[in-house]
Amino acid sequence: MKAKPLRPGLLATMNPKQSQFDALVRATSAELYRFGYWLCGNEALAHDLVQETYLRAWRSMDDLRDTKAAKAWLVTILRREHARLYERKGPTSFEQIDDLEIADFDGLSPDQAGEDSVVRRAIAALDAKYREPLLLQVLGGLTCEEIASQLGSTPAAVMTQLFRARQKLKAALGGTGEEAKVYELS
Amino acid sequence: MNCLEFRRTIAALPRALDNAARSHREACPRCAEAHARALVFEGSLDRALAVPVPAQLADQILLHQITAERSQRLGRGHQLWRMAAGFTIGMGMATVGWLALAPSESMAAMSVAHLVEEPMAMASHGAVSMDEVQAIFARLNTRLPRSPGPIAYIRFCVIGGHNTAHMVMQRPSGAVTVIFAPGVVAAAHSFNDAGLRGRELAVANGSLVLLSANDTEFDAIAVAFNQAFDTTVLHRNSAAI
Repeated sequence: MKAKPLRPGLLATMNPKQSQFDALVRATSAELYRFGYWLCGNEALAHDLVQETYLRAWRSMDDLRDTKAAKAWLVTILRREHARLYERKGPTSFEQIDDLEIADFDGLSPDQAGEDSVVRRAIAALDAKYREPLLLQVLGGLTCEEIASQLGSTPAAVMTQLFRARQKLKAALGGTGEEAKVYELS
Repeated sequence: MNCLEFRRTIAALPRALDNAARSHREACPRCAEAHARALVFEGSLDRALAVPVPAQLADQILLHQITAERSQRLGRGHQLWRMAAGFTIGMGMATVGWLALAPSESMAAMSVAHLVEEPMAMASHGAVSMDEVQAIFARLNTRLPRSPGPIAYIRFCVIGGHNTAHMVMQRPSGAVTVIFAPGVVAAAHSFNDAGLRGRELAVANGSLVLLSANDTEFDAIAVAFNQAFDTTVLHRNSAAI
């Protein structure tokens, strides 16, 4: 008889809390790392940030009542960890990313890798007040209400920031014609 | 919803259209085209934001968590140990007996700590040959004349300064980690640590630590190893043949 493989992963059959945490980490860590990366602009720092975030999450697992809200909960912890890292700043602080160094992606054509690199630089150059809600929406998958709650803002203000973030990005990417026009109606 | 409202919506929430926006998109070809362009732009955003994630990030996070958890528990354990040691010193001869057990307890704890350093070992489903097994045991100056059963993984590991054989046996109820440490004095005992069931027992010239999610197979594995080490069993079987 073939032995049962260990799933979902590391020491998976330990206990329900560990299994739940294991599944949570495997489902969310990549996106959370990316969010952390765009928050601090540094790969090593993002790695540490994510590890500390999950350690705090593990210690507070009992506070997580609704697993559907896990992502927003983790983002909240990560933002607090990031603020703690920089102490002097509040939980809404957001680094300006001046120097992006990202390894080339395997499997992308030079054209595509070049295009992505241009978009990344445009995102990095966005003003923090536009970049953070955009990242929370695109990477974090948060709704306007959740983003507003994270940023201590209102859903309407978040809508405006998201709208302007995309507008500025399109303009920065050379879409000075149709793409950059506010409502694309002309 | 009119065109202006629709364009404002897709500029902020291109992937979360409500019913009104969806109805407008179906009724207005120009807005449908604008939405298609918006989704293409979202695709380029997705690709750009998807920076490479470190290899085995999830495993590293879990290892960090388990190690931190374990350190915290060991810290609490050490505090209790110091209190207990202080008490038992005053108890004269009882202290000597208690301290005699300490090395075997630490071997079990060190084995658990070692386990999280090689987490992928538990998922091994290979078939290690008896020659490979005996080669590892030879490095431990220990003879293992018989096979203790199918071994999926074996490695010579130094755990807490002790040379050991770190093995994994895939059994019907799950993976069982088996660590043999020659020269370690062990008092047989069972334990729970880091969510694992464990048992330590004396075999041959050392200690055998068994770790798994459950202890269903422990008895059978202990018997198998005792027989594997026991040369008299080998001789008896040979005689029978």
